[in-house]
Parts: sequence; C-alpha cells; structure tokens
Amino acid sequence: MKKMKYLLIIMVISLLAVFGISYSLNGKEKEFSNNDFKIKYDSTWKAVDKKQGIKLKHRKTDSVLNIQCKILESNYIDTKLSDIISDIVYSIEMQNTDYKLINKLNSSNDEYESYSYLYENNDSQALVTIYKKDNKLVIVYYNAQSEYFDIVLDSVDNILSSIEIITGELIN
Amino acid sequence: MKKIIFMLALTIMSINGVKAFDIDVNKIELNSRTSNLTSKLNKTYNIDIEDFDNRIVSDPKVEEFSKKLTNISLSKNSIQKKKEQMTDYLYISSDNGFDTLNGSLFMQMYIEQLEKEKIEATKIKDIKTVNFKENEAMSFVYLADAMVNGKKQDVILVYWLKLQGEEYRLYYPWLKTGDSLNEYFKKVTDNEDKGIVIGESYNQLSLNSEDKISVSTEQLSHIYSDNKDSVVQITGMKGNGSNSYGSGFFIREGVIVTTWSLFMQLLSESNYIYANDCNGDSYEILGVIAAQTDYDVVILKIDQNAGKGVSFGTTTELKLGDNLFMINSKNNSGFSINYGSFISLNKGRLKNMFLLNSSDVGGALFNSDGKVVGINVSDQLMSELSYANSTDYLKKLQKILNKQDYKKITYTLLEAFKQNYYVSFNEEKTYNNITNDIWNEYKKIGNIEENIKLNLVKGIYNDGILSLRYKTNVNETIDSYYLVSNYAEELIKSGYKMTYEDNYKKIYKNNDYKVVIKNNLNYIIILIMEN
Repeated sequence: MKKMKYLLIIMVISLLAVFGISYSLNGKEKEFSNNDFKIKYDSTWKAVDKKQGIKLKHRKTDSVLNIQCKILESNYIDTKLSDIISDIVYSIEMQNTDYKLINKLNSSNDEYESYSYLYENNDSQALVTIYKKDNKLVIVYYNAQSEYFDIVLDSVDNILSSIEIITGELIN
Repeated sequence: MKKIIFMLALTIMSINGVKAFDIDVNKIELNSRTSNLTSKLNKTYNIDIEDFDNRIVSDPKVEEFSKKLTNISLSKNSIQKKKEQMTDYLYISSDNGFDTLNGSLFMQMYIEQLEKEKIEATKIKDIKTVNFKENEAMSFVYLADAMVNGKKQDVILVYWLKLQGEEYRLYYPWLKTGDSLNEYFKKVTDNEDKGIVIGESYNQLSLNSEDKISVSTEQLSHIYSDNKDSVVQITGMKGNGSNSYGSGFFIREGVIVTTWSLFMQLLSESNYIYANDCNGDSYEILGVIAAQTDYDVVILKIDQNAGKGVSFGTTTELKLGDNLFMINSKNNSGFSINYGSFISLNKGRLKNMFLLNSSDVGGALFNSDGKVVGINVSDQLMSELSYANSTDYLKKLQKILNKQDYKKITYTLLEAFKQNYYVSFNEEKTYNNITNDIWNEYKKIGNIEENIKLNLVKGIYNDGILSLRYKTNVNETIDSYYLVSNYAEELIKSGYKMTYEDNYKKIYKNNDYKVVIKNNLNYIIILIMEN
C-alpha cells in the first residue's frame, strides 16, 4: 500500500515536471540583441545562426526567419526610406530571381518607416520587411512553405512588433 | 511524418534548383538601379554641376569639440563641476567683456536647464555642423533615445562656436526638447552662409511679413502671360484610377525639366505619365534625355515640338526678400500665378518663404524679371518655408539643346525606366488543400460562405488549423475589417466572445474553437483551430 502511495506521488511529480517543461518551452520568451537591434521570440523558434544578425528556424514547420542589419553611410541618416526603397528592393530581387512579387505594403508605424514585400515561387512564400532608423536598415525575411505561411505568420508578426533598432554613437 | 514530407520537399526543391529565399545584405546597393540606367544616357547632354554642391559639410574639428561639450553636458558630475569644466572652454572676447559675460550666463542657464529637466542620454544620433563665417560655426547635436524628466523625448544640443586662435571655443550653448525634432533638425541644420544669425531666430526673422515686397497686379499679369506657355503639369495615372501630380517647365520646345525624385515617384506608382499645358494640350513623355540624380533633376522629351523654352536668370543675384513667382496648377484645376520671397542661397540651394504642396514639386521659380532661377524640390512641403535647387547649371544644357533639331535630340525610352521602377505585381497562385469533409465541418463556424464575399487565394488545413487567406483589393490606408464585419457579428451571435483586439488582429473564442482574424498585407487571414 505504501509502495503504491510512493508510486502515485512519483507519477504525479513526473507528470507535473513534463507539463512544466512543455509549458515553459511554449511560453518562455527569448531575447536576442546585438549592436544593431533587439528582438523577442517565443520558443516555437530556434536560433540556428547568430553570425550576421540572427536566423531563426520554426521548430514545427522549418520555416525560416532571418533578421540582418545593413549600416548605411552617415549621409543617409535623414534620407527617407521611401527615397531609397526602390534600389534596395531591386538588389534583393536580383538575389532571388526565382521569386515573383505578389504584394507590397507600406508598413510604417510611429516608431519606424518600413515597407513589406511578399514574394512567391512554386510552393513557398517570402515576406521581406525593411525598416530604417537613422543610418541603419534592418531587413527581416520570413520564408515558409505556402501551406504553413499564414499559420506561422502570427508568430512572425509578434517578432516584428518587438524589433528595436539601436542607433547612435556613445557619448562617453 | 509531416516534417519528413517537408524535408523531402525541400530536398526535391534543391535538386530541381529552386532556391530558398535568401538575402546577402552586403550585396545591397543603394543606387544600383539608378546608376545603371543613367549611365546609358547620351553624354552630349551631361549636366555640368561643377559649382553646385548642396551637401552639408561637417568640419571634423567642430564635431570633435561638440562631442567634448556633450560629454561634459551629460556626465554624472555635479552642476558646479560641469560649470567649471564648461568655463574652461568658453570663448573670451578680447574687445567685448559684455560678450564674454553673456556667454558665461548662457552657459550657466544651459547647464541648469539640463539639470532641471533631468536630461539623460548615452548616445548621439547625429551631429551637423555649419561654418557660417570665417571664424564661427554652429553645431547641432541630436541625442539618441534621450529622456527628459523620465520620459522619452527628442533633444538637440546647440553650440555656437567661435575660433579663438586655432581652437574653437563655446560662445553660446542652448538646447531644444520636443516630441519629434526630426524636421526641426533638418531645418536648422541646412546651411546658411549669409553671416546672419542662424538657426531658429534666423528663421523667425526671415518670416517677418514686413520683409515682403508688395506685388502689383500688372507685374503678376506680365510674368504670367510671358511664361504660361513654358510650364506644364505632369500627371501619373495609377492602376486604381487615381492620379498623382507634379510640375515641370520647358527648357526648349519639346523638352521639359522636372525633378528626378518626382519622376521616380510617378514611375513607381503610375502606369501612364503625361504632361499638359495651360492651353489644355497634353503631351506623351517619350523618354529621358539627361538626368543628374544627385541634384534631383531630369530632362524629358515629349512627343511634340511644342511649348516655349524659359529664360534662365542668375540665382546669385537674388537678395533677401526678393519676390519669387510660380505658375502652377493645383491638381489639374487650371493654372494660376503665386508669389513668395527669397530668403537665402547656399551652394545651389534656395531657401524661400513659399508654401508648396506636392503638385508644385518640379515647377519653376521665376524672379521679378520672369526668368527662372530655381526648381522646386520636395524637402519641405506644406510649410511656410520651402526649398528649390538653383537652375544656373541648366543654362549650358539649354544652349546645347537649342542648337539641335527636335527630331535629332536623342533619348532613352521611358519604357526602359518604367520596367525598372514601375512595381507590377504578379498573379498570386491560388492553393486549396481543404477536403470537403473538413470544409463542411468548419464552414459552419460564423457561416463563412454566407458572410465572407472575398476572393479566397489560399485555403489550407494543417495540423488541426484551418487557414483562409482572402484578397481584399482595398487601399492599404483603409481598415479592411469592415469586409468581414458580418462574419464577426455571426460569431458573436453564435456565442463566441472577442478575447483580443488590436489594429491588425481580433481573436474570438467559444468552448470548442478559437478564431483569429488578421488584417495583413491587403489580405484578410482567418485561422480557425480547436481550443
């Protein structure tokens, strides 16, 4: 009887531990920051490369989210993104000739000027969002199979809304 | 299993040579498309700009000194210590003790204001310096992510500096705080080389209406009748039926001038561009003769040897308060003449007291003799102050063009530019993997078929989640939720409760299902999943 009681307690503890781990895996928010930007992402994503910005892989669907920064010359600090976006997108499209543009959106908000472009090839889609603050361009691209794209998009949107671009020269 | 299938698909994709989307940011060039196109233009029509440079020049010595002053200003030292440190860098006038005393008082007020408003910052966003006399300079230090009284605000520290021997010294410091000082920073840092007090006080002085010279009706009528045949309105017709407008003028018959930035904007937004004059005649734009993108000008050939070339005046002869005139058409509503006044000229850039709107960009500014001295640029619209680029450098090109027969003026076809700038969208592939059984189960939720009358482009069922992507085809500035309002009402009627709402997403739940409605990229995306 005593043995059964111990077994029951062990089972309850094990169950709690398993649920606890899975809860913390799903719910825990991680943060990545470098000299250029900060982002937050949930544990459905795994950081697979942090050499140039960060590359995240969606654990369940293998969708990829890449965030990189390009530092422009200082004379671009006051330049509006709308004045240079055409050339930026041209350079991006030249690197991805398999993908066709299907949608474009001015996604600027109070904080940053930004534009989003949606591309498609045979069975995958890519969403490119370009932000500008001072002389930094932060380029985010999310690439997923068409069948997963919209399902994961909500999580991508959360990451996009957490972006903080770090600019400025240290005073001291 | 699904993951294995996806990995397999990826492998097949790579075998078939379909690449994953990837960007090398180091390969992004900011003028690749433009320079590629402009390099192909006929060199005969090169625009000579040797005396024209509107870049703001930073003096490294001034910048370094400004950083030093900023370090002291924002250090954690006591007020007294800061004042002592700052005093070491004050300008001491050898012949005007009052000047020195004033500088010291201003410095003390500045330090006290920093302290009183609890201004904190650890980074500088930008520094612009202006040398406006042989021995004086202004420096504008824009702080990054500054805090004022514990709240995030923009802060600009301004130092008026004077040379003492070989070194710069602080003459007056002051600061400005505000919610968004971007425009202010741009405005105050634009060069002034007239030796007049620059910055905010100068702008206020210049805006004094007493400076304006009155204009007679005869003068307006004279300038209008002499030049009405030399100006055009340029219209870009967009795919959705709306139009965007700008201005231009004839450099000779059959050839018009406008700004490169307007031309680019019209190319990217419009599928057809044309010019029309005050007589109601319309002209097709055939192509580009010359362009100088750094100085925002483009020369275009039209389909007829029509119009009348302007006469150019000399910008450097303008004086503060001189009247300037513009013949313009506000959004295709007939041409009229307006006037404003000249404030300053710096390195080919005219600063004027002239209210411009977007349809005035590219238009000519005439002096009191009816000669063109500037071309309106878009740097500051809907404000009492505006800017124009000097047109002095176009005189040489005008002579070259005037010598040639209209038919022999070569140009690069507009089509070549259009292909590169006009954003045309490809047809999105429709995809639907939802089986009848699944659809019959889910379509009941909110009575989808009845309540959503949009074009479904992606219908997917995966891992217990149904995803529907509908194309909205409405302007991006319009909130497209209203297109699914019936659907949302139906959910509420059938017992769902809204548990989350922001500008881009709404979530409804009942005991069995969770419905997410997203408004994204001109789509309405609906996700339905079991709770």
